[in-house]
Amino acid sequence: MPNQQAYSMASILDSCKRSTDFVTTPLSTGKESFSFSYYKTLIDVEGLGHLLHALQTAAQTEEIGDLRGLLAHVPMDGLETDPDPERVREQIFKGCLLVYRDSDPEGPCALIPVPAKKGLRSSNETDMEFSVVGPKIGFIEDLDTNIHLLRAQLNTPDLVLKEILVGSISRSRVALMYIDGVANEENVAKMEKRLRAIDFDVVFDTSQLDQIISDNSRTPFPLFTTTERRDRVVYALITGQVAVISEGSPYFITGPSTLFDFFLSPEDYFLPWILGSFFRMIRIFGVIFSLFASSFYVALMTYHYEVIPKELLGRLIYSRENVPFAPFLEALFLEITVEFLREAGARLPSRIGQSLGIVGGIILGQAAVEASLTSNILIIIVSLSALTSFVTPIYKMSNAIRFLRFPIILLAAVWGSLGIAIAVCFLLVHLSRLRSLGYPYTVPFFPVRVKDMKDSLIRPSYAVTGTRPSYLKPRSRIRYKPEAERKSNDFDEE
Amino acid sequence: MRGRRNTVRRVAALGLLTLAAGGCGSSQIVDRIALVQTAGYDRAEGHIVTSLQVGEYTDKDKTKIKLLESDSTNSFDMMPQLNLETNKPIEYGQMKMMLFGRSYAEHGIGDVLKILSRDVKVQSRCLLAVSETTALEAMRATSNTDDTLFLMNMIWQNTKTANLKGQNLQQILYGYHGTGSDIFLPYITINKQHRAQLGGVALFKDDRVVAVAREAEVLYLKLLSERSREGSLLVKLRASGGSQPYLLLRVLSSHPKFKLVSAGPVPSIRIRVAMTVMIKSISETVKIENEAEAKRLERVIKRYVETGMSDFIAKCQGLRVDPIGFGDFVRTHRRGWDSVAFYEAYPSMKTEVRVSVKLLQSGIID
Amino acid sequence: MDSPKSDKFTLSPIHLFFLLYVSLVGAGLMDFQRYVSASSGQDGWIAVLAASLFVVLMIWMMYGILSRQAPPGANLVDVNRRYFGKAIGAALNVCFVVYFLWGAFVTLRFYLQVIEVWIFPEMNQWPLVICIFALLYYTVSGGIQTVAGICFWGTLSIFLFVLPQCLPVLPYLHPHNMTPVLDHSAAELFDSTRLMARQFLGCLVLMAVFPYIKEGGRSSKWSYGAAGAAAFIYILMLLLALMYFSPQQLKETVWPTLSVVSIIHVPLMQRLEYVVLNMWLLKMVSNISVGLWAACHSLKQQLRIRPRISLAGALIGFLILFYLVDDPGDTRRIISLYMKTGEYLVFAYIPIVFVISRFSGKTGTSQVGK
Repeated sequence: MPNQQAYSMASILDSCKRSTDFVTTPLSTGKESFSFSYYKTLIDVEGLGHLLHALQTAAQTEEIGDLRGLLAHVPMDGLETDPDPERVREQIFKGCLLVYRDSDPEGPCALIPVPAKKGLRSSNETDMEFSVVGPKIGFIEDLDTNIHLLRAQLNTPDLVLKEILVGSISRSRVALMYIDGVANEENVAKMEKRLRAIDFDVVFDTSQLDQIISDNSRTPFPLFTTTERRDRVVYALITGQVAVISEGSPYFITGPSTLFDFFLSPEDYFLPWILGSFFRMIRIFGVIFSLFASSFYVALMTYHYEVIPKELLGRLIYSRENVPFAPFLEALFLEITVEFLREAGARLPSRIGQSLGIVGGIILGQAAVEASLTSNILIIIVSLSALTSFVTPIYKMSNAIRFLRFPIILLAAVWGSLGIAIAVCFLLVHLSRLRSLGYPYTVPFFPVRVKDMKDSLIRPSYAVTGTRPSYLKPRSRIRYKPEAERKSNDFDEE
Repeated sequence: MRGRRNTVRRVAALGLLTLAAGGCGSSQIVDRIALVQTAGYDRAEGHIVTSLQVGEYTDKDKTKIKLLESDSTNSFDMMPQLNLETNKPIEYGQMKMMLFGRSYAEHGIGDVLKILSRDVKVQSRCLLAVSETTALEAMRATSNTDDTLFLMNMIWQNTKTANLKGQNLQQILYGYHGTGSDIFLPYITINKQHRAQLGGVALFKDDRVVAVAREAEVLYLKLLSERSREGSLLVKLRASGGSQPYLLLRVLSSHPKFKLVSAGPVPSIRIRVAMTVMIKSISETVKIENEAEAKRLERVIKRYVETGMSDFIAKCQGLRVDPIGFGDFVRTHRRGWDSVAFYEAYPSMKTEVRVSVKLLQSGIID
Repeated sequence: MDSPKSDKFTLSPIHLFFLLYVSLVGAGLMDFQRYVSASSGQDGWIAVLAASLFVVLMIWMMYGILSRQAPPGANLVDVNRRYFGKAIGAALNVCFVVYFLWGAFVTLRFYLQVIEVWIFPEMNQWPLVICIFALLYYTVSGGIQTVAGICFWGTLSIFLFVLPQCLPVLPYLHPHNMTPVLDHSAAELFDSTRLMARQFLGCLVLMAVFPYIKEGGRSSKWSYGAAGAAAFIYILMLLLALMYFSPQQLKETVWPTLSVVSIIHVPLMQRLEYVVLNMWLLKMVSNISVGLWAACHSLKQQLRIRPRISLAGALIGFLILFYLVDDPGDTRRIISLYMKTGEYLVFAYIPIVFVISRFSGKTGTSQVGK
């Protein structure tokens, strides 16, 4: 890892002592006096008090002359004797005490873990990804808790965890997890290599890692799936993907992902397959609608009046009565207004949020139509498309869709329906060029893999999904064996 | 190298944007144009009067209709001439109905048909019709309805549920360019209440009106040329003292079958029409009490229709027009089609019409 | 000779279907009905069938040629160099490069002309042209993977958008236009077949793309499938046009395929040819991209010019040609010239090379005669 400095114990203690919350508590056992150095903000003070008390009482009954003797009386486990400076630097930040003899600060020392409560939220309800049925367990900001949750469900030693330290200032632990025997070693090696090659200062969130290690930074599309739901991560792991999470972030990123992974919802798998497929198709249709609805309106009203059927013609013309702007400007204003509303709504304190939402959504819209600044049909279209951009279960994809609408509207305003066709072309070519961890993004549609298509647009029944998708090149193809076909009797032979 | 490539890309992107902004310029924003929905051609004393019906959608429930007219010496510059009278540019991409005055149609509508077939903006679903007087008058008669497409809807609903055989521009051009049949158009008349109504079918020879088929003939035309599932027929029965008994029939389904008995020199065609009808209303004096009566009635109807159809075909032959499409039939059933020879022999063509009528009992015995 | 392509760049054989389909069904789909039915009338479908069988024969011969090469040398450039020697082979290769580029340009010009007439008569074409060139550059510079990707989407769009439009047209068809059958002489049918076969000139692309297909030897079923699909689409469009228009009317209609679609009316839109025409852009872009890619790749193999540079050069060349070939008359002339040269360059060349390959050794030795 870059930015390595050679630390010595003295230099560590000196640099720590610059902060006022790095304190040293003495303990004298008669014969010797020891010093406990620690960050008081990272330590459970009560636990420390208990420890010192226990040591005091022990010192009264027994002679404690050296460090080892002291450590024998420490009622905690996880002690480390003679750690190297690197380890000390690490562990002090995890809530460990550094113990050394006053007379010999450079000499042997030990680390005693007394970690404090984490100061994290207690509930682990997911707040970005809801589902109506199924477990609602989500991850929180503590890495160990998260891994604990994962291991609780996948309690097999094949779930391998590799820890990598990332960040020159933050030294965050980044966990790379995969199921050995299922995930392809190439994928794991690729991911590990990329993570180890990161040169960054502070990693706030796994989403940052996502961008740093992604194959292509010039795309609005997310190349790894970001999720805070446990069932999603587990599903990704068992199909052969690799999961990464960083300390302090509740989000896992899993890769390699395809475009269709972003339209999967765990709910699809908890409902019967017919319903799951139906909802998935509605989602995909919703996304297409969201991308193209406003631009169709602009194209038809500006260039192609002859395409409008006569039944709609009167309505559309009447709705635009007295509107001073061209359809393109109208649509642009409305779309930008919706974006303003969304951005403001995301940051408003919850008490103001509701009322402003009503003001923004309803009153502004009504007033704009009454003042003939826009047409009411367009308001319906724009608000519907804003709504449907959120049908994708993964937030990052809905961002991408919201963004992509603008260039498409622009192209529609310049070249009408041909502009939309050009936009579709650009989009498809762009998608064909994207790679996620080296794999094509639009698999299984392109490159065509017929066997994997069954779980993309529709969700097939569990009788059919016994094998893993092949594009991830898993080491073991079979997930489970579906129930053998029941021999069907003729209807009068029940 | 990287830096140079990036600057090339940036310059290209900028160039694209400016060009795009300079862009298109042919926008026709839908509420800033005058949409023509019905158009008309008339001939009056050597010059041509063109008229347009344009809809104005300023009111939520009603559409105002504006009627524009202008004079010209030829059939070609209708749009630019009328453009001189409007505050919004005229666009005819939504034109759904075109009317010809009788005098204009008698001189030939071939020019206009050529214009329509060449022009990409004109819809293939556009309807054409001939007005008994002038197109302008027919359009005026519909001005007080709220529908710019009144005439079009009138013709269309009669095609769907009544006696008219439907023809949109595509089918008319099919017949016009084709060598095997002649075109025909709906015939619009003005009734005593000054309202437009369908008064029959105008028969064309090439592109000129030569005759009008009325009443039952319109139905015969439809029954002879296509399968139909609708239509109504008034049968006059033999008067036996007292008043004239009538029978109103509803055609439920009908299916013509042509058979070429001999192709030349004088062609001979056998026509079979299988009809299923239902009695809609019947005069008091006619009774159907049993099977035998029903069968007798069927025979009466059959003879009535056969006579009517034969007369109609004879009329067409006399006029040398072929709206039913006998030419097309012979063309597709014999090798070596020669339209000139066929139409030379057309007036003396032998046809034999046989109708089989099936009367559906409605279950209520008189 | 190129080294065998690494796994990263090859495509599985199914993609050959899309690549070939896109090259076989070109811009001619819009107006081929006029030419084919000019001499054969309602028997034109026989001509289409015959032309398709001819193309299947060509494909079979191409597989024969390619299977006799060592895998690194199984492509157009190397075949020419091997059988015709360095000098003539090089000249032939340059010819083929120009031919591919010419085909791409002709398709683009034709399509833009249709757009100009049908949708945007008063539009200034230059911004659109430059935008499409940017799109083409973006596509082809992504390599064969991206080109195959856009071919896939192009084929899919045709089958999704164009095929379902056959149903609503049914009420307006006159099936009796198809009888009497076989009313034309063999000579007339042969003329039509010849005109029809010109639509399939893109089949040569198979030889340029072949090295990038995994298991090339066993991919022939996809090529035949592509030819079959192309034949199916052409026959379908021909039948629709023959049944929709009367024979005289067909002679007068400039783009029958579009006129047929024009009559369809669905609740949200009428005049569906706008949808068809715009979805056709996807298909055109894929067609032109394949041609461009084949040209740039062959140029790299023959003259060692970097593909990016040759692509940019080709596009600039197109721009200039665009300016020069402006009116429809010129376009028609260059199209017919392209077709005529194509007949010799493709339909005469392939059998000749096939026969030569039969008589020479299997792998890279250049001995002619056993």
